[in-house]
Amino acid sequence: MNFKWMRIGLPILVLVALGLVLAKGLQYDPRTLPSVKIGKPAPAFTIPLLGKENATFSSADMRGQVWVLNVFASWCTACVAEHPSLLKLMQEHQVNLVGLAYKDAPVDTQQWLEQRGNPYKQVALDVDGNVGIDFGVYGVPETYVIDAEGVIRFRQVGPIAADFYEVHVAPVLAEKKLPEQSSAFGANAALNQGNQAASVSNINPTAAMLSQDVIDARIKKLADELRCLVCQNQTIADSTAALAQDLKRQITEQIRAGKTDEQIKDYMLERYGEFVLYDPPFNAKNALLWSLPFVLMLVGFVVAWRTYQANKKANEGKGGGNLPRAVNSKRLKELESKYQSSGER
Amino acid sequence: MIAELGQLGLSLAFALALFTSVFGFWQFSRGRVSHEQLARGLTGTALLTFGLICLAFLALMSCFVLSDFSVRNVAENSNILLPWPYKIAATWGSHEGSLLLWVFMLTGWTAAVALLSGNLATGFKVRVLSVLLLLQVAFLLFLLSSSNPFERILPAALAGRDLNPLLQDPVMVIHPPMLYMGYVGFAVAFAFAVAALLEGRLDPVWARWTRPWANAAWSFLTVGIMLGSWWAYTELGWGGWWFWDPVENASLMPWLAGAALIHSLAVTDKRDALKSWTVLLSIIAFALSLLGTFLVRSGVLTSVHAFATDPKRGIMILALLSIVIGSSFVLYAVKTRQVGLGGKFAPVSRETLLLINNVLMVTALFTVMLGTLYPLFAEVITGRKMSVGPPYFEAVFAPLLLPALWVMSVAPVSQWKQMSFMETLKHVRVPFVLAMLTAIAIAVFGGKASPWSFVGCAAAAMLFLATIRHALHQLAKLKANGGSRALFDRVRVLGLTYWAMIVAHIGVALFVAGVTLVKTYQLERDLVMKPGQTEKISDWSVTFIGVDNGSGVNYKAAHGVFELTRGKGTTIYLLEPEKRQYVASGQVMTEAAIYYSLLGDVYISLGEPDANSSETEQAWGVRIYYKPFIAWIWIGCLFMAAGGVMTLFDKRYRRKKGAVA
Repeated sequence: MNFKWMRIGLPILVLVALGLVLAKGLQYDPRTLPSVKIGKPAPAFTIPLLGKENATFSSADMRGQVWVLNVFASWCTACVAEHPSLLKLMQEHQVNLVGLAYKDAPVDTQQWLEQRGNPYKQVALDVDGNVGIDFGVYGVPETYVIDAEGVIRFRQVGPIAADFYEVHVAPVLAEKKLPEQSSAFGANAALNQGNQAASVSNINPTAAMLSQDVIDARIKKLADELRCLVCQNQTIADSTAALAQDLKRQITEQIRAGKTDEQIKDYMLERYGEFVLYDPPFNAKNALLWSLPFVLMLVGFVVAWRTYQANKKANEGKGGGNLPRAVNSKRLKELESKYQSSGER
Repeated sequence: MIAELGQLGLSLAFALALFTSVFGFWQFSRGRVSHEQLARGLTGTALLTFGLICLAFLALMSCFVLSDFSVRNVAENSNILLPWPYKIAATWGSHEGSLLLWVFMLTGWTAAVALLSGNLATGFKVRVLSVLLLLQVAFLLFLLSSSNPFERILPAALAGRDLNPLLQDPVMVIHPPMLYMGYVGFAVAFAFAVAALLEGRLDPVWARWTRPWANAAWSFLTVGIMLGSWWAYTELGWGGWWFWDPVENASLMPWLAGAALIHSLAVTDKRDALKSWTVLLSIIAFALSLLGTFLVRSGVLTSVHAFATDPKRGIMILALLSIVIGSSFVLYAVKTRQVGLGGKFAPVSRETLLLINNVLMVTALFTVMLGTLYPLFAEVITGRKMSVGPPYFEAVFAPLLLPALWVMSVAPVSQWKQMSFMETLKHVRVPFVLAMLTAIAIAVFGGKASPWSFVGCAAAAMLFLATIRHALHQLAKLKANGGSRALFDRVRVLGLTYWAMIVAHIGVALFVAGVTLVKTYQLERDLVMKPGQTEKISDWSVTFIGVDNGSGVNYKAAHGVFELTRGKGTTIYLLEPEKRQYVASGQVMTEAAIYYSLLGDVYISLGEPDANSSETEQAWGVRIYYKPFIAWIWIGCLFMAAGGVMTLFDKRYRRKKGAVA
């Protein structure tokens, strides 16, 4: 009796669970991209400033103040749409707004700002896009709210909304400043130095001697395992999107610099989260994913075997003899005539 | 006017299907009509709904061909400039259109069952047709209430938005109908299974009735998937043929279930065994078709192929799916005790080998499902966003399916009931040695071998050789046993179903060989080329001639010209990849140029113009791929499908009284 209830109950339970998850899943937008950097220290960077020769912008200088980093470019059409909101933000609230000109020629940036007005207190030039990659930027525009501790508090992918200041900046400004001196920036800088030291020691002495074929094969392998985050469902090897090209360039540079495949994957993981890995890591969180196929296979064989045994017993019980019955044409005819009901023509 | 006619067709078909299935049974239960009368009523209804849906389908098609932009669906998915073959393809290019195609196929299959079921017992026929008509009711309800393709807009659009340029490809004209024929075809096997469960009797006759339908559906699905894969290869521009994308996986799951089903049906037909398992597979195959429809249509997963999706409708398909699958599983759980596994067989027998392969295929199927749904589950349950992609599927799939291939090589030579293990192995001794030699030769001369590529090549060669050997052996045995001396007669004696199996298994061998070789030996160049520059790939030389301006009816293009020379330059081909910009949508598409050959394709796609080069000597980003033996993948699929189709013409499934099944 129990067994019978299990036969009916278990599949139904599984189906209901499946249905509920699928129904819940419908409410998600599969196109939203994860922001792994929220709540984490903003990457430290020092890059040239627009309009001032030899002057640099350093994120460490912003320590102690709440600031907003807006990633933009003169070639970006959505930035044109966002521009008035930024001007308004500046006029009304005098926010610490820093622009990051992403993969843009300084001349073009200058011209663009002259035409449309400059809302930024400072404009830092990220000509090769490396700072953007450190932030895990998907595209332009993007906006980050960074608190006095140097921690990223909010990230907007795409143009900011009208209530951006009220909802995302004002609450951070209102927070009491912690007296603690060792800010995240300090820690981060120290960490970065540590990282650099570590990576220096990790450099494979033979890296410079790697043949082009070996390097190409490694690039291909990594690019095949990483997701082009802004594409619908493509690897960065397959995609022609700008972000995919940039990440491929990063991989190439890092391999040349002697990084191992694992280090490069960690680099991507730190910026884009698990979403970037097409090859889910073999860890406790993914235990089900990796083990279930083989468990299922075993279960399949066990169930098949047990059913087989039960069936064998049942057949013996019927006194069917030891030799299996072949389905010959005679038996088929018998069965067919059994089926033909009297009403059949 | 035409749109209203189509709308009328849909509504009438819905009303008719509902009326017959409800009123008919009510009358039957009150004893007012006999099984015989009910069967006639259901047959008539099946034919009528098919006629009405045909009308609706043609109506929608003419709206597209005539560019009636007052119909929302046409305005959103067509354009005045669209070439007419694509206007026809646009009929099923949208969510509404593809659901109409779904229903069209369902009514078509139902009508076919009604017409070709002269050999079915009346009571059984009544149940089968009722199940199919109820499915029609459900899907028509969904279509009419939430996805009406004939909705009008006021004012009418001027020129239409345009069909997604990705879908403007000749293959897209036939890929969706083939795929849906397959998907929906499993509804017939499903209806047969439910009818059998309702009657509580399952036997070889049932299996014999079901086999042609399952084989036909599976063949269509095979061709449909193959065309989809070929489309992706030519159209997406990076030379891949399978991406383990959710939409592809959605079609692979019912295909795997179908493959398991047709083998399991063979066992039930010939040996009266594995009965409850066969019924379960019939249900699972259709359940997965529905799940696939849900995954593709609801947009719950991100995909390269997600063209027409709408989460709001998702919940309705989900409800439909749950009701159909839930109720049939309950029915199965309650009734299978009466049905049983069936006839007896020894632990070492052909039944066992088929059962092992069935378990492997079903495990593979659940693996695809797990990998496809896992990211969704992770997000819903723990909130983390992750990806499961090709590396996972390849890592898990190969260990599951490679053993299946070895079993496949042995199964045909094994015997029903029971067999001597050693005796059977003797039959495959020679193929095994030859296969190993082949794999070693490939590894030695081709280089770059990995354990997986070695096992893949060996398995493919083994399957090919063992299958051929078996056929030759059977022919020789017939002769020795006093059969006709004429080869043709002996071929005929073995029967079409036998040859179908041989053809399909050779197809699998070709497919596996293609997959393994292209994976191991493909070459890729991603570079910037100046006009006149030559790049070597395998034994081909590719020379970039230049790029000029080209145009089509509805697009402008940068038109590249490449010269392809083999070896020392004796043969020359021109390859002309394009970078198209479609006028209506402004979307940019890469149109790859491919030199096809049985031994390997050369594939060129045009990237972006190089910003650093002078205008007179404009250099371009170019991707060149060499894809050895990739054609074998599709040829293999065609062989499999051909095998499936061949069984339909076997006399075993035909009945005298003019009924052809």
